[in-house]
Amino acid sequence: MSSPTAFKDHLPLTPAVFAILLALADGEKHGYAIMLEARQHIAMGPGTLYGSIDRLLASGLVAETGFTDDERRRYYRLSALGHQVLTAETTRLAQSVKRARSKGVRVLTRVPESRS
Amino acid sequence: MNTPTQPRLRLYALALHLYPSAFRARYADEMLSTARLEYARSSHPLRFTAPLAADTLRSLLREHLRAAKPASPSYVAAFALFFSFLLIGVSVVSQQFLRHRADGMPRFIAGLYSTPMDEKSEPYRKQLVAHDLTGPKHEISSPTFLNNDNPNSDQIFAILYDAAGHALTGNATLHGALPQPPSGIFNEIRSGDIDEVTWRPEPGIRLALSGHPMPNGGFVVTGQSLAPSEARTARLNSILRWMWLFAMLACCFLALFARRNTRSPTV
Repeated sequence: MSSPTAFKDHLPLTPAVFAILLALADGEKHGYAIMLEARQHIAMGPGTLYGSIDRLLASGLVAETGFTDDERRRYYRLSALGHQVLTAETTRLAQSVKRARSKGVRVLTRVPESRS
Repeated sequence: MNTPTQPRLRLYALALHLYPSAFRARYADEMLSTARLEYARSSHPLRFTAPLAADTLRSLLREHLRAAKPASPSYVAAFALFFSFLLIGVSVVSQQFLRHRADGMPRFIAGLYSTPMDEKSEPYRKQLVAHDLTGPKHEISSPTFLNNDNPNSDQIFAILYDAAGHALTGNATLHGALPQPPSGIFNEIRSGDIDEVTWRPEPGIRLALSGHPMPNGGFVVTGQSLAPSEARTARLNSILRWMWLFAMLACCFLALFARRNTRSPTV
């Protein structure tokens, strides 16, 4: 059982970690499925994905659930602590959005692509 | 790990060997499998290769930093001590080197005066002609002379002395008179104990002198201002001080990083 302050130690999350936790919010997934969903928020390759997953496993936000038959696909799920952290980070971001709106910052339906 | 047939994937499989061994053992198969799926899905080879290469480089650096054992504070302190002594050594050696280099040209000119001209020294006659002792004289105390950093013989003065050490002629003056170094210098030049010496005729003037006995029993003393050489030493010491400061800041950072790493893992 994590203490009330334990999940706060992990905040704020990096965009990559937030995207991975969010991808796992609706159930367990394997690495490639996590990457495909996380890419809706942030550019991510296998190195960033598995490096982040390794850190999330070490800090107990994510747990491994098992292998596929050929043992080349591991499945991951959010832990209870991971759920808490994701909820707290989402709340934090929602408060930021609320503050931005109160200052007249418009929320676009689509993020404009940056020019390179 | 099955070796892929596609050259880009084969290259990626090789790059996976660059990850720390524990990370590679745990994730290499999954990473390669993910890259395979990604390759099959990509519309253009470059759209697959460029982001994958960038991601691999970034994550390689990150994973090696994670895998690196935090530096022990005692190792950091030992390095700081070693680096400090190293920089002190570099400073002392370079100061000596620059000081001795300032003797080179005066020694050369004094050698030309004190030895008879032969075929070998003929090419250097121009150097002596440039040192016409009856021509215009350098005023040693002038800033123009003191700070002359021209890397040729223009900055060298030469004075001839008799056997008793009295100035006879020369192409430099000190406050209007021929410079007169302490008489002890001539005794030492005659006995062969020294041929180079630093002379400080007054505050703010430091000269590198080179003296040679002449066949007629007199002496030739050549010299130049040490101000340019000392300015170079000061510039080098300033760079070394900044290097030391950055190194000490880096050591403090490493020591703090080590303490932080031993306390709590971060996501």
